[in-house]
Amino acid sequence: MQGSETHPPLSIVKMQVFQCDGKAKDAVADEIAEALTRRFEKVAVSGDSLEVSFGKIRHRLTVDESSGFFVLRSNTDYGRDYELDAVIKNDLRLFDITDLGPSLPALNPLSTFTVFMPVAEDEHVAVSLAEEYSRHLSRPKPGIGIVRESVLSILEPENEEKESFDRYYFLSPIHVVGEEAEKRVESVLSEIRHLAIHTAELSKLYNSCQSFFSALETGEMEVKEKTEDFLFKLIGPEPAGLESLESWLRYIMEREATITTMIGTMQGNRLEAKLIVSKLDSLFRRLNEVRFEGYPTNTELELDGYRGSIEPFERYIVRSEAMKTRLETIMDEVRTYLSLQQQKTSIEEQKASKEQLIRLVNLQEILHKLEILIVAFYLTEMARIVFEPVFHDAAGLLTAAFIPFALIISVGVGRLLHREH
Amino acid sequence: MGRGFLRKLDVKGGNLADVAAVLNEFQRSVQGEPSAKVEGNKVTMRCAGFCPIMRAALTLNIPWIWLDTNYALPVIEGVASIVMPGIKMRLASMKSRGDSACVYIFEL
Repeated sequence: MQGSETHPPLSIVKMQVFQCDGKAKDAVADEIAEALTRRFEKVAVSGDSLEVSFGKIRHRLTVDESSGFFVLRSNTDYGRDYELDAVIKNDLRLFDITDLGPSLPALNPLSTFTVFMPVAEDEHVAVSLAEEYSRHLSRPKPGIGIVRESVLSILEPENEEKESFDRYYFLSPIHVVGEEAEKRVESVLSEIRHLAIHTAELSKLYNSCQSFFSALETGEMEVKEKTEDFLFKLIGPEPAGLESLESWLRYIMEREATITTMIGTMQGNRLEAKLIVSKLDSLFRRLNEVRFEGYPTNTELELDGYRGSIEPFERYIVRSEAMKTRLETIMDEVRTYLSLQQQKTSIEEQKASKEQLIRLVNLQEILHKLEILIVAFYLTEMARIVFEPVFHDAAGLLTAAFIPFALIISVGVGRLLHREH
Repeated sequence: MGRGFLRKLDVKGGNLADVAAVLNEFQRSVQGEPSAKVEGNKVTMRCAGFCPIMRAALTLNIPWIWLDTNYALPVIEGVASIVMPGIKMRLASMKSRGDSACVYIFEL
C-alpha cells in the first residue's frame, strides 16, 4: 500500500506488563515520566496520563497496577498519514521500557501485547488488512474471528521453538463508527489487558523455572553416567568394597532427595500454570469469538498455544520421575548385591563352622581312643602288680596275655562312661 | 570451612595446586564431582549436573540466581581465598542463568 491517501486511520495500543518489587504505582509512574522527559522534548502531564509528541504523532501513556503487575499502556493515533513499515520498524520501539534511558532501571516486560487497530469498512476489507499486517510483521495470521463487532486476528509468535509471551493483535471495528466503535474497541482492549496480565503471570512462572529446565539435561547426564558406572562395577569381576557401596548409597540418597524436591516443586508450578491457563480460557470465553468463514478462531489457536506452555513443566516432571525410578532401581540393585554378599558370607561362615565341628569330632574320637589305651595300660599295669607276687616266673607272659582283656575291658568301661553322651 | 579442608588434606595452602585440592574436597563434601584443576596460572572448576544450591532454590522457592549470587559464590570464593589470599574468582558461565554448567575461574 503506497501513498498516505490509501491508508485507513490507524491506532496502536501497546501494553507492557512488568513488575517492580517493593515499588508503589506512583513511584513507578514518576520514574517512567522522568525517563520520558529526559528522552523526549515534549512531555505533558494530562490527568493520569503522559502525552508525548514525537514529530506529527502524539502518544498517550498510562501506568496502572493490577494483581501486583504494572501495565504501561501507550496509545498512538496515526490518522491516515503514516507508512506502515516505518511504524513497525521505528515507532513501536519508542516506548519500550527496556530502552527508556539510564534513569530507569532496566525492566524486562514479562509480556508485551501490541494491538493494531485500523478502521475498516467491512469484514472483508479488515481481513485483507490483517493479511497486510501479517506480511509486514512477518508473522503468519493463523486465525480470524469476529469479537464484539470487530475483526480479530492474533498473529503467530515469531519463534515457536522458544516460549514467547509477546503478542501482536489485529483488531478492526466494522459496521460501527465514532463513539460506539471506540466503546466496543475499548471493551475488547480491557479484555486484552487482562490477557496480557495473565500472560505475564505465565511468563514470570516460566522465567523462574527456565534455569531449572535447562539444568535438567546435564543432571540427567550426570545421573546416567554415575549409575552406569555403579552398575558396571557391581557386575564387574572385582567385588565392590564396603566403602564404595557406602559412597554410592550416599550419592543415590542425596540425588533421590533432590529429584523428589524437584518433582514436588514442579508439580506445584504445573498446577499454577494450569490455573493461569484456565483464567486465560475464561477470558477468551468472555470474548465470545464468532468463527469467520472457514478460518479457525483465535480462541482455539491461542488456547492451544497457552496449553502448550504447560508442557515444559510436564516434561520436567516426567523426566525427573524417570530419573528417580532409575536411581531407585540402582538402589535396589545395590541392596540385592549387599544381600547376596551377606548370604555368601553366611554360607562361608557355615562352611567354616562345619569344618571346625568335624575337626572337633575327630579330636574327640582321638581322645576317646587315647582314653581306652590309658585305661588298658592302667589295667595291664594293675594285672602285672597282681601277677608278679603270685606267678613270679610267668608274670611277664601273663601280663602280655592280659593286654587283649585289658583292651576289651577299657572299651567296655569307655562305652559305659560315654553311654549318656 | 576452608581451614577445615586444609587441615583434612594436611596442606599449607599458598599455591594453586592446593586451591584445586581444597575446591575438589569442597565438591566431594557437597556430593559434587571434583573437577577443579590447575591450568597454567589459574584454577578452573566446572560444575555440571545437580547442585545443592539448585535444590535449596527449589525447596525454599528462592530465585536460584539470587541464592547463587548471595550465598554460593561468596562461600566458594571464601574457601579459595583461605587457601590463597588475594585470589580472585570469576564466572565464565552459570547454570542459574540457563547455561549448561557453572564454570569458575580462579586467578591472582
